[in-house]
Amino acid sequence: MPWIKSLRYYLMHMTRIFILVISLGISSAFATTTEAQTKMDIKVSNVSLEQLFKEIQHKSEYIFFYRDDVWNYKVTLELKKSPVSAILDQALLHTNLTYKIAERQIVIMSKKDKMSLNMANIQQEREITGTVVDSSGTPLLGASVIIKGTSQGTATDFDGNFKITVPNDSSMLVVTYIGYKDQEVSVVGLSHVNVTMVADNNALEEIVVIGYGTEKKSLVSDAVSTISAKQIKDLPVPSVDGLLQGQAAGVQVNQNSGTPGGEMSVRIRGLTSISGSSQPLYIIDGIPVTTGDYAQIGYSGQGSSALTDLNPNNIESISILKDASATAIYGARGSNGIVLITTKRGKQQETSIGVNIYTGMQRAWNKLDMLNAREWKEYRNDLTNSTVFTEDEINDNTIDTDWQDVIFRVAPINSYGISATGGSEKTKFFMSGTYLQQEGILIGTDYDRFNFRANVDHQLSDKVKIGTSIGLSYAHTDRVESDQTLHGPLPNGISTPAIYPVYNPDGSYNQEGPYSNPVSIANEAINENFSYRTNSNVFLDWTILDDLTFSSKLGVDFLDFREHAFESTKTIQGAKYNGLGFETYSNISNIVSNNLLEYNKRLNKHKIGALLGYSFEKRNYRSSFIRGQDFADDDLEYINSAATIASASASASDEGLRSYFGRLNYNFSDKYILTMTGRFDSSSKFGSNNKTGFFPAASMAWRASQEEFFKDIDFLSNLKFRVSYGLTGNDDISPFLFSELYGNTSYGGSPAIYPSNIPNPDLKWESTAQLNIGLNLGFFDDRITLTADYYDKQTNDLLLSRPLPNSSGFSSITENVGKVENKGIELTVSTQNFTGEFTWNTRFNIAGNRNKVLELYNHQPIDDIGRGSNRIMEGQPIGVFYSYHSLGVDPSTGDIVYEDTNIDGEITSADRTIIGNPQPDFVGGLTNNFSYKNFDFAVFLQFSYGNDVFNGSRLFLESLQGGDNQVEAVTRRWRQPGDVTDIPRATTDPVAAAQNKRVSSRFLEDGSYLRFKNVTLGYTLDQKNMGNRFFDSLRIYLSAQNLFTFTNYSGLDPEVNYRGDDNSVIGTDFFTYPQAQTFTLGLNLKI
Amino acid sequence: MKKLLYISILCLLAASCNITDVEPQNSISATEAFKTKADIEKGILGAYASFQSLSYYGRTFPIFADLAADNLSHPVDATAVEYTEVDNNNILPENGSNSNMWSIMYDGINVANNVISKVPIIKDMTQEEKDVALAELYFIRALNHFNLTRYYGAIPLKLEPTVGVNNLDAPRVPVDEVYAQIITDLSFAVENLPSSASKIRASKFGAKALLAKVYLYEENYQQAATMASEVINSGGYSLLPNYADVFADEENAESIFEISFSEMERNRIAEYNFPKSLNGRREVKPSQGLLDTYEDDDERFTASVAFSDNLAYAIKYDDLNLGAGNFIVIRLADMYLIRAEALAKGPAPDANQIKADLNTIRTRAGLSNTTANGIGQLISAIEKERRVEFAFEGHRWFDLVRTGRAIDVLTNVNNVNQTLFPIPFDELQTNNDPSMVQNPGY
Repeated sequence: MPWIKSLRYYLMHMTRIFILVISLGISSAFATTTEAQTKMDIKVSNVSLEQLFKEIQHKSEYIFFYRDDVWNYKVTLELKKSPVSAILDQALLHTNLTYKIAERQIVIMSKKDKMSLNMANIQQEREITGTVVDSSGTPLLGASVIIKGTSQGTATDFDGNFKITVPNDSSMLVVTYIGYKDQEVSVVGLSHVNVTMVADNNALEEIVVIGYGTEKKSLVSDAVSTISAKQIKDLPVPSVDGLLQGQAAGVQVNQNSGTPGGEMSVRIRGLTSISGSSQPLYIIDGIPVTTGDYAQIGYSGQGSSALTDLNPNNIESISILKDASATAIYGARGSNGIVLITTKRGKQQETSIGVNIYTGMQRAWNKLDMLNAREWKEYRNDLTNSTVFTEDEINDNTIDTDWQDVIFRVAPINSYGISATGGSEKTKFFMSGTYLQQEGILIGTDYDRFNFRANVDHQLSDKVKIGTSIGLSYAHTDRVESDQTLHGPLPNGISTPAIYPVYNPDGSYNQEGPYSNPVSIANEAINENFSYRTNSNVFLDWTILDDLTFSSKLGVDFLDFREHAFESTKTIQGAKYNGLGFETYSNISNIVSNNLLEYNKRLNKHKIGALLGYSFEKRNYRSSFIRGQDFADDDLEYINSAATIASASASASDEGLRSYFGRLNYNFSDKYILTMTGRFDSSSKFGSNNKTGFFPAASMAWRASQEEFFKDIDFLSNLKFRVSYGLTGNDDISPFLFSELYGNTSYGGSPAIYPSNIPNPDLKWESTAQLNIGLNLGFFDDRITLTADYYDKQTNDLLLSRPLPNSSGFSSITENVGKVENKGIELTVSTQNFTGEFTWNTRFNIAGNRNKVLELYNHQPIDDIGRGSNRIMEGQPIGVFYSYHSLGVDPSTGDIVYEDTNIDGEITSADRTIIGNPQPDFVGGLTNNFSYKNFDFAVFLQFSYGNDVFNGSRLFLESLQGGDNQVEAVTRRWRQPGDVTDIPRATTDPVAAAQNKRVSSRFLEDGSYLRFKNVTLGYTLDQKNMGNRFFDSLRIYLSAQNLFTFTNYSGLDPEVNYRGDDNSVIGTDFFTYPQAQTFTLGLNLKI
Repeated sequence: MKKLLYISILCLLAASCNITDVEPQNSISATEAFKTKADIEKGILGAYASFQSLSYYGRTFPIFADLAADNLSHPVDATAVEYTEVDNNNILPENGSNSNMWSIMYDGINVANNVISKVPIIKDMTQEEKDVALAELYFIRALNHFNLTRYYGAIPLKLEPTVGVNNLDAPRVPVDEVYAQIITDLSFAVENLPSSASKIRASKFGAKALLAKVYLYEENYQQAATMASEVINSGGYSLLPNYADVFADEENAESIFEISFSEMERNRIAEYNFPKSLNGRREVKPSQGLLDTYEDDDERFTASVAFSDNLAYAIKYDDLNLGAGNFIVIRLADMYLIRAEALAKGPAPDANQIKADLNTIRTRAGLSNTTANGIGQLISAIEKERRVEFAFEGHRWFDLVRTGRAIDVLTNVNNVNQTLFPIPFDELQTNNDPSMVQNPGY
């Protein structure tokens, strides 16, 4: 399009002139700076010029550019405190060479060339041509050639050629190309240059982000997994925790439900806590992220998640710190592992605009088999042993509602994002804006989010760099109540028999069923939350000396979370109160300051790195809650229309944390690496007897492949052994638990106080000691890489709600008792199966964690938790299922027989036993990436094996009691003596019916699954195919999320937990929102 | 430039100095909580607050007392499984509602004990004021122990507050010792409480009324009759002419002690009784047996039960919207029937006096005098009268159990073991005292 071309041309032209003027001005200002006047002593005797130049380079910041024939000249000099110009004058006196100094570059040229240069100087600018090739001589298309010190430049064409007009003052070009090392080329005295780019794609040179710094991957001595933006770019997953699933060994992600905007449980190397959180600490650009569910209105386990405010599109890379040596530097918050997120930042390059759009449809991939109207009526007759429905009624099935079709829908998901990245030598920026719109597959639910980010880095001077990262987001969620209430669309929908229609003939909602009409709830109940969030920081990096840098970062994570709920008289719950409304506000602000002093020194083969840090965090939480009833009108949703304020409260809580930490890294010859870290944490949450915690760790690594005797083994490109040991903590304690407090309430309209807890001044963090032994292998130049780790985590001082006899007036006290252990093995294998025109890479990770409770207070188990009867007991994993063992249906009576495990002739609660384990034996993921010409194809599988799920929905759907709809399986129930089946009889005998419905192994199922989590096919159009320069590349792709799920689980989804992120109630399904199967069409455009 | 950096670093350090000094904003620390008389007043109200719990007078306690007996039953299409167990008198020790009831009653006792221990140290109270405060607290403690022993039999007797984690293995104390303590507490309350006080708080005659009831349960009939007479004659209470008004008006003349509920602290009794057509949950419904027991013209019938599409539901506590109706724990009518029963079972039963009391209640209900003659018949008549007079007020189960009539009257109860609720499983797990064993049969 011509007008755009001219706009770009105009802009470039103007910026060029503008920059030319500025650089002329600035360069003239700098012309008399210290560089030209650096004085040094030179004493050389009969050395070649090259030697002399090397000497000068060694003693100063100058870099010499010269042609080969400088070898021919020899020189002898002895000068003291001379500027370089004087030295060169002397040295080149008797040669036909002369020199030109431009900032730090000195170009040696023949006097003839200089003259032609001077001629050229009369003109303002000149043209330089060139060719850019890689090390094998292949021309590189689209390499960026920029005039150093500016942002003007050009790009190479299909033959690697470029043509650039440079002002006479410019002497350097910078050539960059993805995957190759940047090259600076001098053009002084030259009109044509050939540039050979050296590849930079050796995996070992990859930089890994670690706590408070970065490290080369080859030199990392800790257990760290990395996920790059490339791995996650096509996943239509709205939240960050979802991206981690199946991508890194040892990281188990459980999407507890398909609730849009809902929280997932992320476990790095197992469950380390029972009362505190087991979620890892998320850090974005160095600042901890507020995570968790701040909703004050209960939705029965399907909570919100503050982590979903972050935009996955902005992520450059994710580092997952797993062992003590990597996490101890985060001290009292490191026990559960750390997820370090780095957002994209600008680079010195021409501004590149990216547009990323996808649009798709989601649907429920699974439905339960429920009774239809006829089967229901027959069942009711059978149950009551009477004719509740006559023969005619049974045959008249005009009303036969498939409720799951009613409550589930095909829902769209769309994401529109635009980003710009670019920069000059001094200032670099990345900006992006994204809009995500996701409708939920369950009626009444959806999720919208706007994200904006601006990351700017600016070199204030060559010692000081400043920058900022600003992330803003706004999210809106429509929610519905879940299980455990009688007003959730999903449980109500599934439990309503088919004989009830959705609407009455007059159009009103039919409310005759046992539960309130799910469509009325979804349509009429308003349940929304609004999240206004910023994750922003400003930082300063000061290079005090060459080896010593100071950096300071001040960040804030501010979350404003508002909930608005209203049910008019059109719903059952609203009618009960003549309109019921809630309005809540929560403000969580966390201000963080990180201050680091880093020292790096290299002495021959010894490298020392030292880091000292001081950090403090202040967190404020304010909330308010109002409940109003008796509204003036069905359409007025806000509480100023409520005649009665049924409840109003507000609350405040503050926390403070101060820490000192340090890291010492010693490296000999890049072969032997030793790292030691330590951190002191003082928290306002710790009891007076344990105010400060100390968390040390150490790790060692031996890069055996760098040893002489290994260098001959060709096929072995990398062999590194690692071992680490250290102590980390978990400080997820409610504030002030250590002190004796009185809570407030009221009676008869007057204020009242009551003792709210038993104090514990010894209260402190939970501590985990972790040993990690690891191995990194690489074969055939790292074409095959393998990482294996064995770990042993011992967690002591578990914060347990130690149960107390209820007759004391308290049910529990929080104490540090209890021990838990996690041991496991992680394996990651990466292979490049085919390279060349057809490429095929495979990445496989698998991990097995064995969790065991070692000690509880007084060996007392914590029992009967959750709907599936999870238990915490010594010698078993946390959350093991403990209830009756069902032996099946007795063919003679039709009732369930339970195992009398203690053989006392009676079935009592003493007969309960371990019936299953919700924790998986193995989890992992397998990714295969293919590319051929312009096509790319990726298949990502994710699996979990050995986890049991308690199907709590069957407690009601197979209860053969009550008014609930039943699953199809009940048609094969026991009818008469002699029947052999797994479903007991339908009976109104209350005792027998209750016995058959006990929580037992009858409802426990194998929840192992294998999912085709993502399959993506893409096609890239780039300049090779298209003639014009409108865009750099355009990629179209088709993606399917959760394409196939293979499982034996009979419920809606094997990846489930009705209680959301809970440590002890796990693996239990109770009418929980299933995940969606999503098909999307996407576009990545780069301009 | 450098100066600026140094200054900002210093500022940063200074700002962070007191970062870990934070104070609680929602609670008061123990050292600050009890300093003046006003604080004790707040503490006493805190002890009353446990009565408002949904597991107590807010819902579970009165409902279970009628559900375990024959006044309420659990509809087949209702959803609360724990209620089914109570209806069938086959309660599992893991039953959560049962456990919560046990816990909240001991919570009330602990709060009371906590304030009791603080009363002596208050400087601005006279001895008399202290005794009044203690009397009120003893009343609360006694009521809680009474409710506990009526459901569970031998229970831990708690007279000290819980301040640490030691010595929490409380033994189960035999029923007569529990009653002895209750009577001691109530006698002190009778001595020291003022006569006129708000009905949502304990008063002298409130303590006397409760004491009368306790004596009756203890089968100390003479004392029961004496106490009841004192309340009837000198309490200043009177039976309301219209039965329905007893539950319509708060703190009316007939009410002796009631629990305060408001929209901020609501009860959910109506929610669990009302039919779905009126937006209730209908977890319990009046049993047919009860409905048949009402005589024709009994005013109490229309005041206690209503119908919606032929479905009966209890309406004594009918505030579905706000749950703000106060719950009456004791009222004057109870005194009449207690006296009648105490006389009937006492050493010298005066049939005329008994009939007079019985008829007072019957006449108020719009019925004719009783036709019962002879002590045996009178006792049955009293039992029947109690059933309809106090339907849905949390009396029936206790009346049947204490009179030994549960096995005869209730179809589900066949064994004396079923006349006690099971000790909650959590208590057995955590309380290591050797006497803390489960009630027989569970």
